[in-house]
Amino acid sequence: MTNVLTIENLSVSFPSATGEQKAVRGVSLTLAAGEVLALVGESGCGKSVLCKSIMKLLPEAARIRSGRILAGDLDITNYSSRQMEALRGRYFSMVFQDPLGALDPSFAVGAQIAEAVRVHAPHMKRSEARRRALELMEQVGIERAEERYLLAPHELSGGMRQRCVIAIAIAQQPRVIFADEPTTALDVTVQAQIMDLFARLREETGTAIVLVSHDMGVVAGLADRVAVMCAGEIVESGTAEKIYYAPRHRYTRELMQALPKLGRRPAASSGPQTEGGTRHE
Amino acid sequence: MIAYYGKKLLLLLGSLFLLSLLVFFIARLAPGDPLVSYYGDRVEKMSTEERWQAEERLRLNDPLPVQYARWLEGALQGDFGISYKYKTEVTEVIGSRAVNTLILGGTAFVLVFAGALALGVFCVWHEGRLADRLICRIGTALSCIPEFWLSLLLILIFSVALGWLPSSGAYTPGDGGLWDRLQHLVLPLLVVVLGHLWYYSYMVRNRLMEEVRAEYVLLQKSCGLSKSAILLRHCLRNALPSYLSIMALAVPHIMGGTYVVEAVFSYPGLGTLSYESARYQDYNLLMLLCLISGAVVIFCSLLAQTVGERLDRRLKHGAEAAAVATVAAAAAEEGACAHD
Repeated sequence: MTNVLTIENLSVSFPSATGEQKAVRGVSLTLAAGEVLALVGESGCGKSVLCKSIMKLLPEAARIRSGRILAGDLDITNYSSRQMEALRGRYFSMVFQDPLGALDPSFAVGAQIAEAVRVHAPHMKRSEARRRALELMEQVGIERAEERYLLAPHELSGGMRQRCVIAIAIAQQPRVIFADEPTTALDVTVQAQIMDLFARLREETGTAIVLVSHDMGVVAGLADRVAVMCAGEIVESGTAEKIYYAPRHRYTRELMQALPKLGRRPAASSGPQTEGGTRHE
Repeated sequence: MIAYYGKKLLLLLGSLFLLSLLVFFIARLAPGDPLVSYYGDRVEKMSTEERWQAEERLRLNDPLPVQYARWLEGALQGDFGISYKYKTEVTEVIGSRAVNTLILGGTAFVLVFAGALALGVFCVWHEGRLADRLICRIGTALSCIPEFWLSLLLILIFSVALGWLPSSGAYTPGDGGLWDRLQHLVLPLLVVVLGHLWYYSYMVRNRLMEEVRAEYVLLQKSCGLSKSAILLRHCLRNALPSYLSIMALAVPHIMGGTYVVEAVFSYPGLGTLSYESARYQDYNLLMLLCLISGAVVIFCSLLAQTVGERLDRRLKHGAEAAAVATVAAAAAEEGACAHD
């Protein structure tokens, strides 16, 4: 398998009143095609900044201080936001935490998906884009897509909205999807449904997923590999089994202990559950 | 729906009634002699007897409530009385001047409306860069200059020193062609537009800035949409309802500016007329002018409210829309559960 994303010794910092704030410090990562990498750590540890710095979505003040970012073989470390437009959507895309905020309130969700379909295909007919958007909506598990196509985001439930956001993210068949806390704003049953959806999409489309979460339990069923982040650094990474069964770093162990023990114990939700997530497909 | 607009109409009429009461009594409390505007200098030579007769003829001797009742009765039938100064129907006096004000105010409004939008978008596009910062500084300075002062300054420069443009009036008597009228329009128009443009550009800029920072912009960027498409198609669309409500409120604001500028430039419009009518105790004229201005203000604020409610998909008025949304959300939730 080739790597769709390689990060070498990446550091990102923001200027602040007290000097430079280092949000990401010397992170190295690889992501193989079709792989699911979970990026786990507490709030503010730099997970989101890492993803956004790869997609060049950070505010202009943010600086990449060192390191390299490779998309396949392409060095995109110093790409401007403008240059990045060509890759966004087609190579990388992103799913956000709050699906209500992530959708434009004054456009129907269907129109927003169709717009994403046409981003890099401006000559595509509107009817064709609409047909494709409906397909996508069905693919992400939105039933009666024809009716829902015309609804505004606030007229849908949280889970449905997140499915729309995911439909937008996969509209151009990207190689890598960054899912930035995709289930944090959703309630627990919907969380499970969305994680199942990611599992199915990986299976069907072969896209690699970087799953960002502060919750070990949420990523347990899906991740091939887990990278634990703390204060801008990756303190431990390895296969999901290794992290769950034999965490070596003190921070990882603490993070594991932070999981609620009732019902869904972390030890019981690793390894075998990875297949469990996709079993009913 | 009919009840909704009926209520708004009632509100409009009620406010106008209160306004007429207020203006009527305040105007009569103000010092001055209404007879002067009707009889001119002759008033000074009148005996007490003649004076009393004159007041009787203009019906100024009855108690104020009686006078108000008489005025209201006439007004409801479309008779607003005569102007003491012009000695014709006030509607006629106003009619001939209203066109001039509409030309000045209307053109100013259109220019401010379009200019503010363009300037606001331009600033957001170049956010934080030199062009944006420069426009902000110059705009703030310009909007702080009082209109009457700016008018005088422009008259000094362009009329007195350079002699390029006329300093007063709407046209040269005896000429009145299009070119002549345009020349007379330039300076007053410039003052009104400069005085208001920045305020509204700043509104557009701030509102758009909020939109540009919204999370949906990140999602759209992340799927490769270009900056121009995001800003013009999405952010602007979301900022539009509040911009339109603001611009509905801008109508009276700009109209007020027009009045001041008209007075300075002796431009024969409603502003100059209001100023004169207040100064010469021309009660009937003053009443109608205040009512017209008041009606515009009240109507525009109601319009602002309605526009905001109609255009924002999230703010459809009343519980009706909220109920629909709740039902839709519940149905969607069911669908999700059934599927998985």
